[in-house]
Amino acid sequence: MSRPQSVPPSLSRGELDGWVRRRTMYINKFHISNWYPNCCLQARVDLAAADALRKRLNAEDRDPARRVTFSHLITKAVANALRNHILFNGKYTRRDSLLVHLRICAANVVDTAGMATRVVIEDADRKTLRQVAAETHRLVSARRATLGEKLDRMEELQQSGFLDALFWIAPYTKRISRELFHSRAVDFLEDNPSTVVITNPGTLGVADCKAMLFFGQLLTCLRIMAIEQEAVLGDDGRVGFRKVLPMGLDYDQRVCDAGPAARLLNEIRRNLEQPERFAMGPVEEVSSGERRGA
Amino acid sequence: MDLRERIRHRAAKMRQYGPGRVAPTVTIRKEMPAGAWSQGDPLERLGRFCLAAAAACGADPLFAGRYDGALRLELPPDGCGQRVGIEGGQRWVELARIGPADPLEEVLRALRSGGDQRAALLDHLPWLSALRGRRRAALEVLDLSTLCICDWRGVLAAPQLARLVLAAGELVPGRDREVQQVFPLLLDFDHKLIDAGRASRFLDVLMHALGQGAAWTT
Repeated sequence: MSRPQSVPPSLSRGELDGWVRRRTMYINKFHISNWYPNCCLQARVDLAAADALRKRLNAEDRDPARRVTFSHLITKAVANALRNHILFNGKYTRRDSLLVHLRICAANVVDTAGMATRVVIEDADRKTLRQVAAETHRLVSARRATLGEKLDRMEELQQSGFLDALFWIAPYTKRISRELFHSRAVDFLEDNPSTVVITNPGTLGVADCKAMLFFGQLLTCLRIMAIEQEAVLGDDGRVGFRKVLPMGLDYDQRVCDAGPAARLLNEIRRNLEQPERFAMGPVEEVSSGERRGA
Repeated sequence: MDLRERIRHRAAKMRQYGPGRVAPTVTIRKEMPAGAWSQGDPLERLGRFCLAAAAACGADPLFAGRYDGALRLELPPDGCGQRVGIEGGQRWVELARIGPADPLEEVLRALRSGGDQRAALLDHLPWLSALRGRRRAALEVLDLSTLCICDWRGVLAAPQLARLVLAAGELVPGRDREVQQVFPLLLDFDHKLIDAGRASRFLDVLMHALGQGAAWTT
């Protein structure tokens, strides 16, 4: 059998020579001291309304730099839902302390050649869907252009030996690990901090994705899978098909129970199923007394 | 085997998956439509799957590598080996060297005969590892398709970086709204060293090799 043609050119033994060194900050980020007991809820979203809205918006404005995709709709739906479930907008400051942010900064994971990075949409709940789309396009292009340069700078630092020393020390000293290494290194690559992360392996055709434990600094992670066809029984008794988007919500079981997490996921689903009403513009403010999820 | 014996028998596994050894594992799933590769008996299907896995390992050897936690990554030699768990790991077969161009009959012979018996035996007697020397980097392939298991979420322990699982076929709505059979392919990987994008591309190569099928249609 010949070598398959779809093999990306980046996959080679030469690239793997310095792979561990290149992944140092991820190795420390996923160290066992940063694992949390997570739970995962899964739901399926009917995409008919979101698909229609996306097509309508893209027909109205054909500028590729402002084109709306499902990812932008999801980002907007998540940000709007989080405004009403602000507890899930938390970030760990140490292993056992959590800071709940009032600004919602949604991070989208972007797959570059071999190194995943994130782009952060600040105040995503206060922006319109079109603004979220335009900003995401701009940030992804900028990140793809500058990531290589940043990785080179990280590599220079690593070659100086300082980061090699941290590689050994960091996992055993929480303060150094978290404050000097993880946050700085990751924020260095991301430019600005995020409060919730949305990862979309579905764009790569992944039908399901499960993580053993929750890791990293963020309390909430939303996972989006590939769009599927689902069989439904119509009112006339006939079997039909509809497009559905499977999504999973990871959260820390120590901080909240399944109920609040399920309500958050349900609100995300409602926002996506009725996007004209709930995922187009800035979210309606609710008073702190009405905020749910705590 | 009574309970005490069983626990004693599993002691090595319990140490292997002990605190500090378990990796932050992520499992991704893709679905491969049934086709020429899935025809025949389950062992034939597994043989073709192993050949396709060898093609994917040739494209990205990281998934067959070993990582002990230091700065060094051990990569497999060209034509890397596989540890194949037949019937959900009831029987493990060590294929010392397998390449995508190997004849299917040879792989099937190895799977039927048990492959490298000595290596497989030592694999399950870890306290004899001193006699065996260092275990070579190899990809673990687990066949759950014969046990009607349709999904899986695994845990990896150092130094293993990935595990490939073939689950049982299921019927789903196809692209033309017809019912079609698909086989879930699941890949456990260590998130410290591997991202979902890379893992997804590994499965793409595997699926491409399965669909191409040059090695077993001739």
